[in-house]
Amino acid sequence: MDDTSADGQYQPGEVAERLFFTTADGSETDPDSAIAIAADDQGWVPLEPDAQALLADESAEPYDRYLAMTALARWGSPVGYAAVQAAAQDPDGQPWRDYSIDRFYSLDNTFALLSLAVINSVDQAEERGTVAEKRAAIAALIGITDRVYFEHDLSASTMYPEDVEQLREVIEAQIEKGIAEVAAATDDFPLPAWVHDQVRELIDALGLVDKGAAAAYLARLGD
Amino acid sequence: MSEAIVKALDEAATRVGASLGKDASKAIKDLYRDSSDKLTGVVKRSVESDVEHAGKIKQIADKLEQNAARTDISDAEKATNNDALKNKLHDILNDPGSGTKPTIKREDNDFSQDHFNPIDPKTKQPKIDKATGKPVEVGKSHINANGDLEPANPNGSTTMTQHVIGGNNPAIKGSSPYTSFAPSKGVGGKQYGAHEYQVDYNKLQGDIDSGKVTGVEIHDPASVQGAIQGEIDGIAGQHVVVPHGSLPNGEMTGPEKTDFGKQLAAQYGLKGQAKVDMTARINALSNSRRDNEWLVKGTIPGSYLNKIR
Repeated sequence: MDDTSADGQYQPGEVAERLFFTTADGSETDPDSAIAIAADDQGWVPLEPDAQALLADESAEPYDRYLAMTALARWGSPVGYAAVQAAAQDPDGQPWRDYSIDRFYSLDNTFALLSLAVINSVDQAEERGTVAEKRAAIAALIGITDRVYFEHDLSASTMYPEDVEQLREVIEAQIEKGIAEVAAATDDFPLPAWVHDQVRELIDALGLVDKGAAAAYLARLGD
Repeated sequence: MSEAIVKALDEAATRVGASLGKDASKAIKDLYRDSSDKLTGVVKRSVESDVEHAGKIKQIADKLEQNAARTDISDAEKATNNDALKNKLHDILNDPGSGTKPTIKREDNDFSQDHFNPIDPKTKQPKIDKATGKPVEVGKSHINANGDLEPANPNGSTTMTQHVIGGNNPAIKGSSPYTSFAPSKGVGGKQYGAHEYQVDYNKLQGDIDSGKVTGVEIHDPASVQGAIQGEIDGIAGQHVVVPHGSLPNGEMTGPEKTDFGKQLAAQYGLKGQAKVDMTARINALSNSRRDNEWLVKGTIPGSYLNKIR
């Protein structure tokens, strides 16, 4: 028996249902498909006004607004990138945290999925002339890798060498901060293991453009 | 459990045969097939001896296939590469393992909860869904009242590939009958969750095979990756060789995934949903290779769980 009752599960509001759970011909879809399909051929153009309005609607369901932010970032919108930057200023204060968890550890992965939306908007940012805004959003996310779990999504397996090159200063500053925090951790004040791993992943990302510098950081991290 | 690995090796050997001849194909098959040419015990014994073996053998099968498909090197170079991979396969199949009982592990900060209630950062109270008027629940794998490890929804319809892809739809995760596991390298090491359970997959598989345990399936990395690969082939309408990327375990970098996705879209004329589905599965396959992910479908009886902390 298939039991997929949605009791207690998130239910999208009317606008989110239309934008992210329904196709143009009225059939059912999921947010990842809806957002990715609209990322091609300027498919975002008719959707963006409603997404922006949803993002700004403080009375809307938090996860509806999160999906709107994700979509706008994925579509290369400066409004979306600015919202990501703002969210990264206060990650624990975001009302949509914990609406999504990773499959291995049941840890919140909302920021991880958000980072993918930003990083994967390469073509859209180029097309719309918002590369600087995109990089500012990535920089803001990098700045919280010692506080927020990113599920490998700010690493060599996602980041583009061009972005790493341009954000090198931010990345190296965060690596330095991370190495210091890892060194200062004790049994009484331990860090989650992912903090160490995310420092390592930033170092690996740096290695996309400078293998020598990455090797030196790895040695200092003790890996 | 090891059928998916044998299938991957058989497919790789067939493609090696088409590229480098029957002798090359036979030389590979001889490593893992019994003289009766039936499903061998060699792979089974190897996977039973070390949790890392399943992922490693699958990687070699992938690389054998990719080498056979290459058009940028000579047949002699391909033959040299093929021999090196065949030797690696031989070594792994004959590696007795670490000697410790092979297990897979799962970590969580709170196994007792079957769901999260996201907390409102302002009120510090569980968030109430505006549509339902009830507290928001995010389903997850957990230890149930019987002490068994139960997935988010044992009767849910989420597929293996959907489970690995994850993504932004909480309903898909909340309907998953699967639980993800990582290979365990013993006790200790980095902790991602306050609590950890390990599963002796040989014991569990043996009791599944004998019928003592029902409603449970163990999927090793070859099975998980094979399911994703099958969907990739289905979208393309033919078999697609997904290259190993430049990162450890064959994981692809962001640009490698993007470029390969664009190449497939152009090659097979993929647009809209088909293009999105293909991209998601390329990402999922790369991630699953990285993680050497194991999945268990269904509820694992508590007697097969070993609480580490």
